Amino acid sequence: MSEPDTRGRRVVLWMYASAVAVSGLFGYVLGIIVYGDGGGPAGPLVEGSGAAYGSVGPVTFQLNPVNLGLFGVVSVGTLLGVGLLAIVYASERADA
Amino acid sequence: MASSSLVLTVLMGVLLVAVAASLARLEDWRSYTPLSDVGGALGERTEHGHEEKPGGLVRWFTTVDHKDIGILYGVYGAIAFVWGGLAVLLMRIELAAPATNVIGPSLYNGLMTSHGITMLFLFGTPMIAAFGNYFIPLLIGADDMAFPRINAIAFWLLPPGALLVWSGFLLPGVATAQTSWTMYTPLSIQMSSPAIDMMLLGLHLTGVSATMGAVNFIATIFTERGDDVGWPSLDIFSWTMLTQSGLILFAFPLLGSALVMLLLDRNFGTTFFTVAGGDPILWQHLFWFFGHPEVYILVLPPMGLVSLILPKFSGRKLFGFKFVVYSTLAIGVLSFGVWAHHMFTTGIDPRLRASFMAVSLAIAIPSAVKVFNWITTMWNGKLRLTAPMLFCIGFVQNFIIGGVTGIFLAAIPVDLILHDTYYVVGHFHFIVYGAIGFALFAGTYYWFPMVTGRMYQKRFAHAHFWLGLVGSNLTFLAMLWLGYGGMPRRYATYLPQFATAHQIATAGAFLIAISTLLWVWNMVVSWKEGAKVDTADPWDLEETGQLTNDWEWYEQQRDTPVPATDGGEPDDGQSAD
Repeated sequence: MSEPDTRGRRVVLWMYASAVAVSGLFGYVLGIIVYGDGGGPAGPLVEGSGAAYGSVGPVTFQLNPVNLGLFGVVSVGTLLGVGLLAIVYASERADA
Repeated sequence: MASSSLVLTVLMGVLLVAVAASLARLEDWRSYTPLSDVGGALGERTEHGHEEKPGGLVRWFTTVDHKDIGILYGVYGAIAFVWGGLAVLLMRIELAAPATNVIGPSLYNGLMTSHGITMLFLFGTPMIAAFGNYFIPLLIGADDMAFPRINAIAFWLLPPGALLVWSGFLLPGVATAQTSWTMYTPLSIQMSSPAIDMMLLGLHLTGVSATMGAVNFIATIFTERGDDVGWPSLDIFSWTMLTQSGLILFAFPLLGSALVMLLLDRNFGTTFFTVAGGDPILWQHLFWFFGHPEVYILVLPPMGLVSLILPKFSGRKLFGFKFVVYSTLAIGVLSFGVWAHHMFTTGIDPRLRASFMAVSLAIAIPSAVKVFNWITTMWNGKLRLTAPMLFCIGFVQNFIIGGVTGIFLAAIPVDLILHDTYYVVGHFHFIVYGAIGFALFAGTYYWFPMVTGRMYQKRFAHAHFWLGLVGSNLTFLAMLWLGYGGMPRRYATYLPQFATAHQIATAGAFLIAISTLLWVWNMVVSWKEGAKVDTADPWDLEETGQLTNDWEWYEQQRDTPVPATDGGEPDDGQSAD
């Protein structure tokens, strides 16, 4: 069965991009489901009346759909990005 | 009552003897078993047999040919997959709305139990055995499995096993087993339905079957390799099957023992797992000492399939082959040291919990090594996006999501919050369907031309992949949302705020069902009517120097006139085609 060749890099970069995009979408919908649209006490699982906050190291942010979406993009983008850089490095060394 | 039981037992005995006698009269099976040349158990060679496989159904009931048994395993696995799939579709229909609408909680619990056990024991393990049986002897240059008759016995233990496991649905008036696949005590002791006893016996049969199969694979790979197949040149799929068989050898007998203890508790008044006098947590220890290795029993060979198939369509050899083998062995060893991460919330000693958390996190390392090697293989490769390759890529993508969500569960503080929620269900479904299922589909498409001599329909295969990928991500991502939202697993009803995510999951499940229908249709129709392959190398593997022993065997089959039999002599003028 003849199939046209596709460059592996292209497919891997698409995989990376789609993983990061899905993480952003996942975070956004998670924000809606858990904390409600505005990050206020509208979500089904919000405890108390005020907005909820989370933190990663020194960075504190309100738990709302947009921020959680951003968190998904940045965290997954960074983690998988480091892995991808390692793959690029190993490939260049091995195939040189 | 007692006399009717006695009559039934006698009748069953007479029936079994009659079946054995009729089979013996119909066919001299000894004549076409590979051991016939040395006379078999009786020490003499039969004189009046014929050296061909019998025709019709008798062939399939009496075969000891590894390829036939592989196909039997495959058909059996596909039937179980349909049963388990229909069960979960009914459950997902019920979950489309919060209240009880279509099926009651009892039936829901029965379907849930059946879905879990069917997919793991009756679909997953046998489907892997299908690939192992058909292709391991071809890949390592063996004539057959080391013990062909044990191979046949191992398979034929499975159909009665399935009937026993499903007995609650098949016997009128008997309540279904509703213990979930984990069969936690004391619930599984206290529920009175005889369907539970039959399910335990059925599971025992499947365990015996898996153990016999494992012994066979180990013996075959150790002793039956061809002259040109040394350990360094052993293919990656055989390595994973060897490791998996080792795991089965240690895990399944323990499950068998625990099942017998549970049967004794249920029927003979012992107190191994009872609240008064025994310890329900002991069941969890025994069950998960089997149960977690079972996860790797299910995932290692599919990883082997991906490691074998993905390089074929990347135009280059697997990157870091040795490290993929080492990581397989490392996962095999570590898999026996993680079982208590399923029990973080049971109140076990916190020091124990910490050690199990450490090992559970550590097992991510060899898993990541594999992902690293698969993607590095692709990075500088020229990919051909055929159906098997698409499913391999889908495997990698889904395995990353399933693996990363699992790392969080390995951390005690996170697990204490997410334990028994839909998050866990979403996590392991990404692995069992999104990864394991995808790899098995990749295998069916990759070897379809070799098994059938025909090509599958490409358009259906690609539609199968895309619908399966979108469907699985919709379903299982929605489950992760539900888990974060606090939705507990194993319930037929739920609070209204969970409705949207459940509806997304139900829609995704239907996409998966449609994609599976396309697969079944494609396999059946293409087997009958697909275009005949006109070459022994339909994937052009020779171009990149990746023609493995199995394809060389196929080429020989096509070129050499042979009778359609094992043990027969080449017959002039008769072609395999």
